[in-house]
Amino acid sequence: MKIISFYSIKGGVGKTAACVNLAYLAAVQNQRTLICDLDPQGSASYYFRIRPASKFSGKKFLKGGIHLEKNIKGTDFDNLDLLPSELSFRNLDILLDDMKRSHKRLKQVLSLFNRDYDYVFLDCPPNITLLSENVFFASDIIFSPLIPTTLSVITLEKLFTFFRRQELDGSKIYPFFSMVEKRKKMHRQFMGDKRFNQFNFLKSNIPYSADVEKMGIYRQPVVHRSPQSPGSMAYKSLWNEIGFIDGMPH
Amino acid sequence: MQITNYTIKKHQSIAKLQATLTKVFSGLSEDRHRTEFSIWDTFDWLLYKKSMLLILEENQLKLLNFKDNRCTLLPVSSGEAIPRFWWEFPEGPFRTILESIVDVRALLKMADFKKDIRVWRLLNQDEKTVAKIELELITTDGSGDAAAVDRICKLVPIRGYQKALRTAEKQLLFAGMQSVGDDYIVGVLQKADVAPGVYSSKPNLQLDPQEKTCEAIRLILAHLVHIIRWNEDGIKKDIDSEFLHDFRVSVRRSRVLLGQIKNVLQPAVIEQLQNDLRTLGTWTNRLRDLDVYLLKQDHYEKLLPERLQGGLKRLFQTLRRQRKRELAKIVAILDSGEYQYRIQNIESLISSKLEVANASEPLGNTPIIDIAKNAIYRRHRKILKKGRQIQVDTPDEKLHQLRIDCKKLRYLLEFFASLFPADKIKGLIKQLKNLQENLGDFNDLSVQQDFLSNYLAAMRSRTADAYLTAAASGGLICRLNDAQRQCRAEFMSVFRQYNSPKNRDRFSALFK
Repeated sequence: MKIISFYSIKGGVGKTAACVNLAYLAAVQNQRTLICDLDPQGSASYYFRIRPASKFSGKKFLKGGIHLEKNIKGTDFDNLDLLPSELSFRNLDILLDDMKRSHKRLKQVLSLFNRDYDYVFLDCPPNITLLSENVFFASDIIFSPLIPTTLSVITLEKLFTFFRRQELDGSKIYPFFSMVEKRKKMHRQFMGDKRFNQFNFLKSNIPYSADVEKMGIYRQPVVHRSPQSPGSMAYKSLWNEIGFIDGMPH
Repeated sequence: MQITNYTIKKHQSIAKLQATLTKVFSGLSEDRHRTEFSIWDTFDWLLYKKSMLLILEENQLKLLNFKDNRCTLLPVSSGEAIPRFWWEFPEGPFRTILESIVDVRALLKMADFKKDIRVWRLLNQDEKTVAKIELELITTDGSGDAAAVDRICKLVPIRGYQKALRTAEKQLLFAGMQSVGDDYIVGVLQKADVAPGVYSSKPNLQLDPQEKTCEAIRLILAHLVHIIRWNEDGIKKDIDSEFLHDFRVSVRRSRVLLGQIKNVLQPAVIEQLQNDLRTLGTWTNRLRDLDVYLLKQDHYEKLLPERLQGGLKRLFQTLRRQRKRELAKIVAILDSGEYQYRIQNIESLISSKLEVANASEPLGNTPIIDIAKNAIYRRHRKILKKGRQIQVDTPDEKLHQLRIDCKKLRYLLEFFASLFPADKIKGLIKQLKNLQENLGDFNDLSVQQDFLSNYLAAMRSRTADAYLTAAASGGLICRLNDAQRQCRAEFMSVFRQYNSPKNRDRFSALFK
């Protein structure tokens, strides 16, 4: 089982969209896939029309085991399940803080799925918190979408600084450009910035596209609804690229 | 998260079910598509006989045990041909199961079906799918409802929506549908007139003990010739080595039958039949030998240390080339006028005319049960007599003769099995089989050593490759010789079991 997380300090960068679409692509290739929606906003859950059970909570999530398992829901697609987010997930940090080995808890909870899933996709809330630290520790690969702007460069550098300080393995961070608008001169300039060369940048970028935006209306992954659209093609190329990363199942 | 299957009977209305489900759930969306599936097995339905079905559907091979409904899956790439032999499959549980059942037989497509599928997604208020129902209309040719071989309804659960599942289940039961296991596919085969398990290379005929011997013999011969005919096509298409094997075994069985049952058929008829059958056997000797060696390649390689294995490759390349030529020869023979003439000659000799022609023979009208008992018992006594004479220093030739006697007895027991209690015959065959295996191995090992020696003697090449091959052959002869001596050492104890008072009593109780 590989754990892939989608993470950015900044919100609104196309993190959930990437998570949902790449998970869908994994599932289509017969990889048993689970999305964990860790973001209390619940966008990933919303895209799949899944609501959490009324009794589900952040506490139960961290308890793991059967409490977690029985809250997993099947999506409309084969091989793709989702653990919906709950508003109380906003407290995950506080809950984690009270626990022993508090930055390894998530990995421990997810190890439950070793046999059931080939991939676990984590859709993470923005910010750097104890939960993020858990995510970093648990993940085999961290995808970090980046809008080509000055602020993004700063956040990326911050992320790496954090990794260094916590003695985490920075080589598992794979940034890629997201919400790219080719006609914007500034975007083009930033994408050519030499400072990015030091990172594991993926070659595929996700364009800013209406199809991806419309996911909120149709509540389906865009790669399913309009597989030939520019957004979908970009996700597919991104997913292909991931296949070349060492140790990935396909 | 189990999918449940239901059968839909002719009178049950799908439209009505759809209307009810639409009301019970917040919505129902329908998708239609068509798929195909096919059933694969060996020519003699080995999988089916072990309660297994191999199903190819949508880039997936499914090995279904229809007794316990267990499934083993293997994804296959679209457009790629299905491997023919078990050893061509990727290693894993799928291959292990196949290996244990199909042995050297090739997998063939036995039946083709079309499936018209309607998928109903049952929706909640968010238009989220909470359960799926798949209605399958199975036909052989893709034509409509009237031609349906079967109609199946599958209830597919979605994880985390148990309540919806129960609601849907209730509606299906209200509609009067009955749940069935995955074995419904067996019924589909039967309804489509595909008859699994028809072919068997064994002469398992149901005989009447009081049947006149000449008629019983004719029935068995006709069955054997039928098997010969049945295998011609598979030999010509070179599907697997067993077609030729079954062809030859039937020839040999016929010859044993003609040789063992005396004073029943006219000598002239016997001679004519023996002559034609012998020719069929001789024609195919060489090809069978080559098949046997080629099937042994892996085994031979394992016998040798790694540094000698390379030399074997060349040897087997030569054998493969020879086999290709030999096969072409046999195909030409099977297509030739001479073959047709001989086989038709055999067929006409054993057609119904035989009875009239042979009623004059002294034992022609004796009930088959008497003749069968006599022939079996005589052969059994002969084996005891010859076997007891074998000592540590008896020449190998005597063991070869004993092997042939055992084979004759085995055939007789199989021909006439239906005349005696099944469990008793089974026990006797099991005991005899142990002895046969020992003698068979002994003989095979001796033949293989001769073959390798002859190959070495005929080698003219003096290249480095040739030396390697010679070394490998030498190494192999040593290993085979060891194994043969081992066999010989075991013979005494194996024969002692056959010669035990208990086994002898069994024979005299049934056949004396």
